[in-house]
Amino acid sequence: MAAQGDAKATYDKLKAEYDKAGKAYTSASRALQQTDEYKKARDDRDRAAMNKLRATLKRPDADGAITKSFETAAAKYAGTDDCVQFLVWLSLSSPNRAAKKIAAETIASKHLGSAAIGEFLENVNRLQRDLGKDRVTEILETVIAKSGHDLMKASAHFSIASAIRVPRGSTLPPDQQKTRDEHMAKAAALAPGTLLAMRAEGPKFQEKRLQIGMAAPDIEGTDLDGVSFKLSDYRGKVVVLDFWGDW
Amino acid sequence: MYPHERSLVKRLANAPFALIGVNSDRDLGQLKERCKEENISWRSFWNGPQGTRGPISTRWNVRGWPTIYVIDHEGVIRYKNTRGEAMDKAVDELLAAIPSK
Repeated sequence: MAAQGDAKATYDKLKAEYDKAGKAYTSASRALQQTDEYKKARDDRDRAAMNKLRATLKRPDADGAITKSFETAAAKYAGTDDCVQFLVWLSLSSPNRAAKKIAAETIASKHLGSAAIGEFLENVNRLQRDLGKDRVTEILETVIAKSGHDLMKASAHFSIASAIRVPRGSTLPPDQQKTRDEHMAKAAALAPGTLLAMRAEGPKFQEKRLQIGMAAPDIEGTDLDGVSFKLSDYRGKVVVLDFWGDW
Repeated sequence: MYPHERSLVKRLANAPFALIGVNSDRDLGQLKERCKEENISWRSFWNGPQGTRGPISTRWNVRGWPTIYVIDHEGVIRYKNTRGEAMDKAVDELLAAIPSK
């Protein structure tokens, strides 16, 4: 068990390092956008100048050091379930395409029975370019057929469904829509009460609960200061509910 | 968006009206600083560290940002994704429909 603690601590440290670099990149990027030079390039729609300015920003893990640390850790715990978290990070988050692919293939060949690949399975469609579409499908079908973990199977069903893309402003042919709905329903049934289930049920929930003229579902949560409140606290008032982000 | 939201909140400060956000920034500390900078005074739920994939927006099947719902005084959804002047008009109309006590 000591080894497991070590691996987790290493993982948390490396991830924090990468997230810090990501934050530094975001704030540097925001600062750059406030400079006169950048504003001028933007106003002139001068893409080349904008790109040149952006190129001065240091992308997270630009020198590959963090990827290398993740690879070292994955090698140290190779073959064990402790190794999986490092492989999942490498496959989904490393900016190095070769490293991504190797990590994803290692998961696919050795760790599809693990209970720690949920994040990988939910995001594996992003790796279609690296692994090939057929390989991604094969991975997901293997998990559905062989995994002993319902949550992992749910994630795999979810990704098979989401790979069937609904065309913008249009609808899917009925057979494809049916396949998509079936996989989404299986994902929701295998992982009741989870975010994944909510995501899988999203379109149905929207159709049944979020139409004009329907009572708004209540929201219970906390505000930015951590104080709990509910949407229904505002009954008696007209409410503009605004899903927003500062980006 | 912020200027319009600020003016709406200011104009209706004494009306039975609330602008409630569901904020999907991952970094709460940074967000709170931005709220100060931008003078964002209205209350928001925080969607959690998963950002746009957090629980509230997931439940509401939010696919685009911002997404807006206008809800009347009885808690019924009356408009979706109305913006700018149309939003002002929608809110005013719903305010006028509240029966006076």
